Amino acid sequence: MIGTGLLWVGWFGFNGGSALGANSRAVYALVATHLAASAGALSWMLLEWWTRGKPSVLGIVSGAIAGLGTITPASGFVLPWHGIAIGLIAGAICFWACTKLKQKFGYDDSLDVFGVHGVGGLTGTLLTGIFATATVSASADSAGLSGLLEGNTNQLLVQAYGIAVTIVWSGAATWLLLKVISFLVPLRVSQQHELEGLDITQHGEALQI
Amino acid sequence: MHLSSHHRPLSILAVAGPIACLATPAFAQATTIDPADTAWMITATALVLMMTMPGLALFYAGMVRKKNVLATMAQSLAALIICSLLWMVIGYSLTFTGEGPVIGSMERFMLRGMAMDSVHALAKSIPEALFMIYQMTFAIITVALVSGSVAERMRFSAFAWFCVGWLLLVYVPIAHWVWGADFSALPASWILPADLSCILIAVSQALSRPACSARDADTVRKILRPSTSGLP
Repeated sequence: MIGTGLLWVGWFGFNGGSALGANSRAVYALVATHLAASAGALSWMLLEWWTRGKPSVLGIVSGAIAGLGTITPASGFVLPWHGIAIGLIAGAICFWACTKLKQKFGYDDSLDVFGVHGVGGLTGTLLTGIFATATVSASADSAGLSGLLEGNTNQLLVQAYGIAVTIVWSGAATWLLLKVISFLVPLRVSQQHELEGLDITQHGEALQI
Repeated sequence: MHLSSHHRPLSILAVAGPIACLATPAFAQATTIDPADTAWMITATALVLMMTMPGLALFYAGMVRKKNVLATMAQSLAALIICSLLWMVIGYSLTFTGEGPVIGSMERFMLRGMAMDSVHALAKSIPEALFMIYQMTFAIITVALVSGSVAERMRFSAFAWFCVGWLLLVYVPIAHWVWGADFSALPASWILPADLSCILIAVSQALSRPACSARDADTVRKILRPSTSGLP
């Protein structure tokens, strides 16, 4: 919870700073970010309420983070109100990813990093290709980026291409890296250590609460 | 705050003076550095750093079982420390200097050649050192995010090695393709830093899971008691 609050506020610096200046584009990014976080939390909360009968705090914060992660690639290129749309979509898609998708593929993602950040980031990158509005990113150097809503279909393809390249490269490199490391040091802790807990076995410390 | 009318003019001057100075830059116009942009970016840097420490640390710590809370935080700390130092030494240079299509150059190895008022082409209105450290906070949080996917499972030493390798093999090249000196190298150059992080997380997460649980599948199933995350 506290972590989410820090992340949410910190995200103002994350997306607001990506304009690399104290200008109106930074402000637009900021506003869109905040709206997306709120909308994401809302849609996740509603979906969880509907499917599980009760909205959980973890669900609400996850929805907020989903919104934040999804708006990030788009924040410097879209109008603030797009943040609401993107956030709502983010909450819904990430909720689906963390529930249905995870069950279907059965992968062990205990903290839903993939479901929230991964799926959110991918979605956001694609949505940028849809919602990008030229006036937001226009500068002295360029005319600004236009998305599908403004009639430019090319950007969506560009976004997809970028995603594909990133996935292929980081997938291959990560796999290779983990393979190499596993020759030096076992990746996982032993079963016994996992049952005892990593605090004691890895660091020799224990929480006193 | 109560000020007697006696002190008021002086205090008004004390406040107005610096503000008036801010309106017109005090240093030579030869530099493109803008104080307002710089002030904001310093703040933004601090905010992004706060997102990792303690933001992400608390976020993940709150989702794991009590016996793993410290270890989870330790992973965020490790990411922070290792990436900070590595970024300064070669990470920044390989990402943001050089025209190579695959990787940058060693022009800024150990930040040599960087002066107090030098600027990077991508951010001309802030000092290069600020641009460097701002980007550093992004690299840090990206690696720290990955730690969430191996929470409760990965050996600390393995994770430390992972930070080193992943930053250099995955983050740096892709960041270079997206924002490097010639960012038309990869058409999708409009991905903002954070989203890059998210995508990279997606992939590395998906990959690290199987690698981590490469041991006996049955044992794995026995170990995987539901965590306290409570998500359906």
